[in-house]
Amino acid sequence: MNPDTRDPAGAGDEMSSAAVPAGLPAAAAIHRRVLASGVALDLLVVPTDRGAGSSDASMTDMTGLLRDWVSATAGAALAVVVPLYDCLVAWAPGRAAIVGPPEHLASLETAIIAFAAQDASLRDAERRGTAILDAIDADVAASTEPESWSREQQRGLTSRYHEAVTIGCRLSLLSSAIHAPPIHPPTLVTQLGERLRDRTRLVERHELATERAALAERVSEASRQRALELSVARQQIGLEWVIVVLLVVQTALLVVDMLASRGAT
Amino acid sequence: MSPKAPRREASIDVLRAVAIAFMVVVHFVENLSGTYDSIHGPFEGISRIWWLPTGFAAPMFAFLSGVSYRLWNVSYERRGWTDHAITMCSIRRGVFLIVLGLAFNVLVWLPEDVFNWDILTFVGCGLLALAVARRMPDGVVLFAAALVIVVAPAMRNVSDYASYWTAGSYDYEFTLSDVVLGWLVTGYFPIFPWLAFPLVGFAAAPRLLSVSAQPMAIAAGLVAASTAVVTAWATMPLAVTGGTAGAWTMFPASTAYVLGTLGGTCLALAVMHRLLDGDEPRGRWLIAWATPLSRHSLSLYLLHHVVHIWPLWVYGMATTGVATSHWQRVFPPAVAVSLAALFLVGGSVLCHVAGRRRIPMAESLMRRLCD
Amino acid sequence: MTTVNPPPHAFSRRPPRIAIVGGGPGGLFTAWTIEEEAALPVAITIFEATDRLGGKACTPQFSTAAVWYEAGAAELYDYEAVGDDPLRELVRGLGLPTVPLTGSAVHVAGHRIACLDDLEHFHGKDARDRLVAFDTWARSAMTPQEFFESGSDHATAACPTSRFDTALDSIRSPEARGYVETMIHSDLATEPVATTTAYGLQNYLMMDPAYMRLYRIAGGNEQLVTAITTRLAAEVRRTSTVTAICGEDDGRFTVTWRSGDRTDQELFDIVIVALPVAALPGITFRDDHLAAAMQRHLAHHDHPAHYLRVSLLLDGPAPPVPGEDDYLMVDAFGGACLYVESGRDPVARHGVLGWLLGGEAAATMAGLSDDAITAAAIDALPPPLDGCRGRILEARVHRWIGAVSAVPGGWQPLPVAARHRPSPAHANLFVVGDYLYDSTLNGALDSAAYVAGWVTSSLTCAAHDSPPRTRTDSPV
Repeated sequence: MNPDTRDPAGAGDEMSSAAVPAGLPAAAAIHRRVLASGVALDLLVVPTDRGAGSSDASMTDMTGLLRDWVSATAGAALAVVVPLYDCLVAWAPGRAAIVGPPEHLASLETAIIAFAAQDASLRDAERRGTAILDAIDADVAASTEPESWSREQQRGLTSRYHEAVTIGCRLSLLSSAIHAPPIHPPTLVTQLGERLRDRTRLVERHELATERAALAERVSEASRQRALELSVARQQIGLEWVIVVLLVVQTALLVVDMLASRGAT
Repeated sequence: MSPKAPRREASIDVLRAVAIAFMVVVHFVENLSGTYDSIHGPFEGISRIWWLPTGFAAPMFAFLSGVSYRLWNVSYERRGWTDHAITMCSIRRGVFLIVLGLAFNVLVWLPEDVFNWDILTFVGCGLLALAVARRMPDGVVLFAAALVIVVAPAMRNVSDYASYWTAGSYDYEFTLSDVVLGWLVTGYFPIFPWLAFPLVGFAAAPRLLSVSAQPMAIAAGLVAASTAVVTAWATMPLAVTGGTAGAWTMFPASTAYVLGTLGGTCLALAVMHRLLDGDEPRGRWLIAWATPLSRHSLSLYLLHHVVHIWPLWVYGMATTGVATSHWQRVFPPAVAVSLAALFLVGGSVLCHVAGRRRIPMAESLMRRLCD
Repeated sequence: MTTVNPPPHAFSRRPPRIAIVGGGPGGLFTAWTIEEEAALPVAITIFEATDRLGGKACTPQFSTAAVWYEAGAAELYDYEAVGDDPLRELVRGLGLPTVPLTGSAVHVAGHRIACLDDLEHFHGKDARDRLVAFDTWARSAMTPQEFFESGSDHATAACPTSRFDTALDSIRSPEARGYVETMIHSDLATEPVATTTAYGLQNYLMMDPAYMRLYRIAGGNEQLVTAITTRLAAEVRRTSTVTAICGEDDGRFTVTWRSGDRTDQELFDIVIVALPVAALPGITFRDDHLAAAMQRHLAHHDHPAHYLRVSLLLDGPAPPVPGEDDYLMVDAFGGACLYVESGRDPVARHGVLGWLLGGEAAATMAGLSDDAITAAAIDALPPPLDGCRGRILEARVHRWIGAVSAVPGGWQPLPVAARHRPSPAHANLFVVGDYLYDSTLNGALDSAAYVAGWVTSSLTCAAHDSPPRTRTDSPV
C-alpha cells in the first residue's frame, strides 16, 4: 500500500478485526488504517479486472454488499456509494470499501484516507460545537449573576470559549480542503474526493459547523464579557460602599470626639 | 442562599425563643432580686457560670434580627415588592420600634430613662441601618461590622464611657451631647459595637442557612478570635489590653464579648439549622413550643417588663412612696427565677392562643402601621 | 438618406412601437428585458415565421411515449463562479428548477478516458504530461475572468485570433491531441482549422468547473421560453414572415410581413432583428444605405457552423452510466457528445439518449435520410450504452445547419456597439443574436440585454426631452 497513507506518527497500519463479507472475490482483504488524528478506518480492498466498469453486473451486485458492510458500524444513513468509471467506492464513518483494477487501488486509497481525515475532523468539530451550544443556555443565564458562579462554572465558561475559538480555527484550516474547487483535468483521486464531498454534503456541513462555532464563540465571549463587566461593576460598587462606610464611621468618630470634648469643657 | 419557599426557619424560632427565655429570666432576677451585679463587670465566682449563657440572649436577639431581616427581604422580593417599597417598609418598621422603645422607656421604666438606648431602640436603629446595608455587597457589610467592632473601644475611651455608668446603671444628663453619645457609644445598647450583630446576621445568613460546612468555619473563626483576645487579656498586662478590650463584659460590650457571642450565635444557628430545618426535623416539640414565642417576641418583651416592673413600681409607691424603693430587692433569686418560669409558661400559652385565634398583638400592630 | 435621429418628441405622444423580428431566444429575451426595464409603456410586436416560439430552445416529446427530449440547446452555462450570470438569474427568477450536468469521460480509440490516470494508463506518461502542459498553457492564455468577459469590448483586444489548430499543434502527443479534439468538437461546431484560438480555448476551458459549469432546466430547456412567453405583454404573430424593412425619413421603419396569402406593411419606431445569421438574407432592406450596412454585417458574421441532434427513446430505463455522467464525449462523427438525458431521473420509465454532432460531420450527416442518421447513431453507441442498440423505440433527428456561427481564425470581432447597430445612420434598427457572442443561450441573452438597455435608455431620454402636452395634443 501507499506509504504516504501511513500515519506520520507511526501508528499506521493495524490489524482489523472486521471480516470480509461473503460473496466477494477471494483477493478481497481488509486493512486498518489509523489516521493522523487517531481515528481508525477499516479499508476493504477488492481488486477487479480493468474494463469491468462500475456499471457491470458484478459491480452492481457488489454495491449492496459493500453498502451493508460499511453501514455496519455507522448506520445506513451515513453510508454513501460512489460508482466511478471502473471503480466502486463505498464509505461510511469508520469503514470504506474500494473496488477496482489494481493500478487504481492506491489512488483510491489515497483519496479515501484524505477524505476520511476531513470528515473525521469535521465530525469532531460538529460534536464539540454541539456540546458547547448545549451549555450556552446556562452560560447566558448565569452571566447575569456572576457572583453566584462557582469556580467550576467560571472555568467551564472560559474553557467553552477557548473550545469555540479552537473549533473555529480548525474549521478554517479545513476550509481550504473542503472548499477547494474541482480540479481539471481531473485525476482519480480528485474525482473521488469531489464525489465524496458532494455526497456527504461536506461543504454544507462545514458551513453550518463554522456558523455554530462562530455563534458559540460570540455567545461565550459575550457571556464572559458581561460577567466580567458585572463583576467589575459590583467590585466598584463594593469599593464605593466601603468608602461610604469609612466616611460614616469617621464622621461618627468625629462626632463622638467633638461631643466628648464639649462635655469635658 | 438557596431559593426556598417563604417559610419560617425553625432554627431561628427556637434560638429566638431560647433568647427570650434567657432574657425573661435575667430581667426577672435582675429587677426583682439584686443578689449579683456581675452583669456590669468581669464575672467572678459562681456568677460567672450563671452569666455566660444568659450573656448570649441580647447578642442572639440582635444577631437574629439581621438574619430575619435578610429572609424577610428575600421573601418580599419574591412576592414582587419593589426595592423602594421594601426600603420604605424597613424604615417605617425601624422608626416604629424606635418610637416604641422610647415610649416603653417612659411608660415601663421612668421618664428620665427615655434615652437609655435599650434593646428596643437599638433593634429599630439596626433596622434603619439594615435598610441601607441591604444595598451593599455582603463583603462590605461584614467589613462595616468589623469596623464597628474595632473602633468601639476607641470611642469608649474618647467618650469616657465609665463616667456614664454608676453602680451598674447607665446615667446621663439631658443634653444633646449625652443623648447622642449614649446612642453611639455609652448607652445600654449603643451603635458601637452592637450594630455588628445585626450586620453580621444579615450578611452571614445565606451562608449559615446553607448546607455547606462554611457556617462551621465562620463560627469556629469567631470563637477562636475571641478566645485569642481573652487569652491575651489573661496573659498580658492590663495596660496593653486596655482593660475593656480583653475583658468579657456586656456593659460595655467588650471586644472579646462581641467576638465570642458572634461566634457562638453563628455556631448555634448553624447547628440548629442542620438539626431543625428540613423536611424531617428533630425536636418537633421544641419547634412547636418555640415558634409562637418567636412570632410574638416583641409582645413578650413588652409584656414581661410590664408584668414584673409595673407591680414593682406600684408596690414601691404604695409602701414607701418611691416607685424604685424595692427595685432589685423584693425577692430572692430563687423566687425571681420561679416567677420567670411561671411567666414563660403563661406567656407560651398566651402566644399559642394568640396565634390560633389571631389576637392582635404588638407585631400585628407593627405590620398594620408599617407594611 | 434618412434623418440621423428621430425627433425627440416622437415617442412622447403614444407608446413607441417596437418590432422584433424572430421569436427565438434572442427575440424573446429582448422583448422580456425591454418590458422589464422600460420606464414607459411600449408596444412590442414579435414576428415569428414558424408556428413555434423558442428557436434552438426546443424540447419536444416522442410520439411513442410522452417523454420529452432536447432537440436543440442541451445545456445552459453557469458563470456564477466567476461573475454575474444574467441567464442564471433569469432562470432562478422564473422559478425554474435546474439540474447540474457533469461528465468526465472521453471515449477515444476504444478507450474510456475519465481522468489523467486513464490517459496515462492507456497512452503513457508522455501523453499525460503533454495534456497537462497544454492545459497549463490554456489557463494562462485565458483566465476565468477573461473567459467570462469574452465577447466584451475590452476582451476583444486581448483574445488570440490565430487559428486554433495551430494551438493544438503544440500538443506533441497525438493521443492527447485526439483526446482534446474529441472533447471539444461537438461544442466547437466547426473544425479547429476554421476557428480562432480564443474560440477554441473557450470551448476547451468550458469543461473546467473553475471557468464554467453546465446545467439544464428540469423538464426541458424550452420551459425557459415558455415561462417568458406567458409573461410577455407583447403581441406575438406566429407564421408571420418579415420580408422587407425600409427606413423612413422620420426615422421610423416600414416592416413588410407576410402571413399565408396576406401581406401587410406597418410602421414601427424601432426594429430589432433577432434572427440567426443564416436567415438575414431572407429580409430585403429597401434603403440602400441600410442594405449596404446589413450586407457588411452579414459578411462579417456569416461563418456558419452546424449541429445535428439525434435523440433515441429506449424501451426502458437507461443503464447506469459509469461515473454517473450526464454526457459522454465520443470520438465518433469526428467528436460528438452523447447525453444521457434521463440519467438523473430515478423514476424515468424510458431512457433517452441524445447525440450532438457538430461541424463538418453534422453538415455531412444532415444530407442523409433520418433512418440512415439514426442507424449510424445507434451503431456508434459506446459501451456500456452499446447494450441499448436493440432497445430503441423511436428516434428523432433535428438538423441545425448554419444555425450557429463559427469564429474563423484571424477574425476580429466588432465592438459591441457596432455589432448590434450595423447602421449608425439608422439609430433605431438593432440586431440581436447569439452569433454576436458565443452562439449560446447565454450569448443570446447578453446580446438581447445590450440592445434592450440601449432601447430603454433612449426611450427614457426621449420621454424626458419631449415638450409638455397641451390640450391640442392628442395621443396617436
